[in-house]
Amino acid sequence: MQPFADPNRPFELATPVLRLKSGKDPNAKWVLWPVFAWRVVVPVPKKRKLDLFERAMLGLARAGVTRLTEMANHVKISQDLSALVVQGLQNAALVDPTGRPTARGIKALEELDDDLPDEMRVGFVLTDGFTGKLWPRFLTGDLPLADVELDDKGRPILLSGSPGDPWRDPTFSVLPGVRDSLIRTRPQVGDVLRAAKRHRRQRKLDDLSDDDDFRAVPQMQRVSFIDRIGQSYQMALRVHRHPSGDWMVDDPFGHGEGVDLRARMEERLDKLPGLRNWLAPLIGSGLAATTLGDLRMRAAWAVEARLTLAIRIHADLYALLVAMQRAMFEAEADDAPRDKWDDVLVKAQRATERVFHTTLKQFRRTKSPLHRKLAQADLKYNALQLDTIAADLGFESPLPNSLKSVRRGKVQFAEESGGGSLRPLVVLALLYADVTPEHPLHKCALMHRDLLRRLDALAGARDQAAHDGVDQLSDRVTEHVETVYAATEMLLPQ
Amino acid sequence: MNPTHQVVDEFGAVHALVKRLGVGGQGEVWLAAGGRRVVKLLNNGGNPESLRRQFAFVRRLDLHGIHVAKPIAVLKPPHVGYVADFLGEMVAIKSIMQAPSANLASWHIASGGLRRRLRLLAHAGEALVALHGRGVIYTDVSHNNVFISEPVGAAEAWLIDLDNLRYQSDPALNLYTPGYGAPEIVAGRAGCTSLSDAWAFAVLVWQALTLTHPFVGDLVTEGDPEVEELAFAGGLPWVRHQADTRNACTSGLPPELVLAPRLVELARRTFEDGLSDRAKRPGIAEWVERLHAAADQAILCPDCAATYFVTETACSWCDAARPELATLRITRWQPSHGRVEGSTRLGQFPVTRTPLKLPRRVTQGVPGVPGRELHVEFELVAKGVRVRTAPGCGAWAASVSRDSERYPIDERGRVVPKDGWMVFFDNPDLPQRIAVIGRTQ
Repeated sequence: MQPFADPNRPFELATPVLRLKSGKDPNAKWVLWPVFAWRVVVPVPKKRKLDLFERAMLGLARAGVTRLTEMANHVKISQDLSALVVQGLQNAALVDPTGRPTARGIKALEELDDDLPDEMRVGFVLTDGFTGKLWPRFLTGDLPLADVELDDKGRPILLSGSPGDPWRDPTFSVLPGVRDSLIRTRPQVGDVLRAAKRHRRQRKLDDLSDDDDFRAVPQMQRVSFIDRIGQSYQMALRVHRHPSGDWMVDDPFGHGEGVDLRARMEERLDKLPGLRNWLAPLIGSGLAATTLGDLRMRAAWAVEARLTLAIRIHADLYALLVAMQRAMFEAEADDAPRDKWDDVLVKAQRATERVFHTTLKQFRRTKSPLHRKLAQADLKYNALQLDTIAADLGFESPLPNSLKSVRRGKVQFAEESGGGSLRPLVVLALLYADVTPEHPLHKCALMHRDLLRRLDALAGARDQAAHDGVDQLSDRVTEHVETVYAATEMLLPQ
Repeated sequence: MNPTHQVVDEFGAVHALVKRLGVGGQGEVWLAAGGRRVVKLLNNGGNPESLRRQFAFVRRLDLHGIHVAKPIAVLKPPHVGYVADFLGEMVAIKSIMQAPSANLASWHIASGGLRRRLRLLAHAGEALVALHGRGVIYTDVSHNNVFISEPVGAAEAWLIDLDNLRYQSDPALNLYTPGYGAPEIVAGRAGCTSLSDAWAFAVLVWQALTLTHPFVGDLVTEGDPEVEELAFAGGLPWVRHQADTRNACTSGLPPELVLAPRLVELARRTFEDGLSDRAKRPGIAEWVERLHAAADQAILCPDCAATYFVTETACSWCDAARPELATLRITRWQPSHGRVEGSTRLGQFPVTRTPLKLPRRVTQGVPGVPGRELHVEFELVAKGVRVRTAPGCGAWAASVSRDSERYPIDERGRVVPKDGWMVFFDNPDLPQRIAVIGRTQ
């Protein structure tokens, strides 16, 4: 209880937490949801301990009738059944072995003769802090206050487990903001009875036995008392991944999935960015339709995972790679048009060209430019020269014709302008590597002998994509994207 | 109900005793109904009044945040004893010291291996250090009084029997378990001190790691019982004495396998230099630091699941090659100066494909139990090192060469290169500890 809570700010981080379930699930997320708890007192009729036959047989025993045949005659039941009933009474120590009632049996009969007073049970009903809506649950007994400690920012951490194997669940508190209106409407008697009835029905559906369960919901027809003012608490809700891959909120009372709770949580996601971040490992960044922003974020994560955070140093290239990866995700969508794959190729080539531009900047020489090593018109000579360089570096040789037949003018343009398209840039890189031992193409050949051929294939696929022709096959495009990553990884220093 | 199965404490609470958990020289320990409390019934020889005074003293102590089973209430006559919290899922540390005669390696691994043992001992040491910090001594450190987590996935350690706590060093009140008493205590020359606790703790560490007593070498094993008494009183050299090898030990686990060199050095300072001069013994805080450091240097063998020191080139238990690893160094960050190199070493950690979980003890220098909270996790992946934070925690990554460009890290994690990057554990604009991954040149 928190009698001194500020009535104007009933929910804060330090508001006590209710928790009905615990467990050691490192992948689950705990969200604390604001609720008002209303103490309720209900009269519950005492359960009669004896059934009709037992009552009759015990009464006969008290009257001195102890022979089974006589008992059976009096009650008009078979002798076997009367023997069974008497045996049950003996087992319950209500009659002794001679058939006479014990002190306990006589007391049981006396209680039956009296009108049993109702038993008063205390419990709680909960209303939603935001909507004031009554939860269809009845909490029998004391409130399940959670063991909590606050972290250095004052946020509650749920404690469970044992001293030998303690467990801590960090939480996110959904606290009403200044613009949120809080509804603390006192539930009516009918509401409480309906909530209890629905909860009983749910327990029956889930096949939960009331025996020895101190949280069993009593059968109630009346309500004697309802708190005038509900006390504020934070209810611990477990959010985790459903086997289907979707996320779900558990019913805190252990009745499977809390569909309504999830809906309420979804409503809060847009209002509370902190909640979205908190649940991000489970829900991703979006809920329903994936937006371009979400795809961009996914793409950024994918690029970083592939090339590490170091790629962020090359901001321009990073942006191109993210664009390529985003296009890839778009193309992979079920309803994506086939031409999306072409888009991936265009972006892949742009990213690769940027990799070569960046490398070229490092090694570019203004005096004695290297494009002059190529013949103006003798393509055979050029091809031989490039094949030799590729073989010396350790790449697959001979090179594809489309690569080694690049015209000198294009290579010259690439060298002089720092621009140019992919194939001339690859040729230029070969010429530079030939005379520069520290050029990254040297190491590259050790890891990816086929890289030059793959780069040529990428350039070819991109040309195909830019013109009318055959559709790109998705698995081929995936290979080309991998080529881009490999080239980036090898050619750019981290 | 049998009256011996029900006791009443000083507050009038009735405790039904449902299960006897243990019997010892001092009395019996029972689990009370409800499963959350234990009742220690002391033998009739106990003095109820002195026990009551002792508990009044213990209850006045601020023991919050220390892993000790604090007494809750004293029992009413005719019983002598007290009620304490039950340490669920915990067993005495002797459970990891009683090795089977066969399959030693598999038993060692199944009971948590080297890294867990080092960590359990460090945590037990932390509880003792915290008590010493409150101005009290524990007096009876032994394999019976240190309780550890039963599940091998956990590494908690608690001290029980706080009726032994003392705030004065009186030889008349000396108490020790045979084998754990410091020489001056056994001889009755002095009362218990934090350094006699340090002696007993050093014995516990040596015994828990090597599975042999530091004074039970071959000479003692093959000798008469009196020889053992003499050894326990410090009358014989310890098993690794530098000059006197009379009592060398050929049984148990080799210290080189289970104790880092610095731990062996601490043992030497305790059992050799500190044998007759207790002031030369290292304090428990030093043991705790070195035990944690040693545990941090242990890596998991992917083949046999044992843990062994990263300085080995192959698994000490199955000879499998050491897995690929990256290194991580903890250093300081001063926003106005950048990385502060060359200051006190704050630790170096091997990063393998098994996530390395750095607690706040490492990332923020938080001591004791709060320092065990997970903060940041590092894991070697194909392209670099994946860094992720514990839920609700923050961290930032930056290249060493471009430390002004910082990238936030959350629990989803980000991959940083294996060399030349650093991870901030707090807002980079504040002075703090940082982790530097791999080489910086």
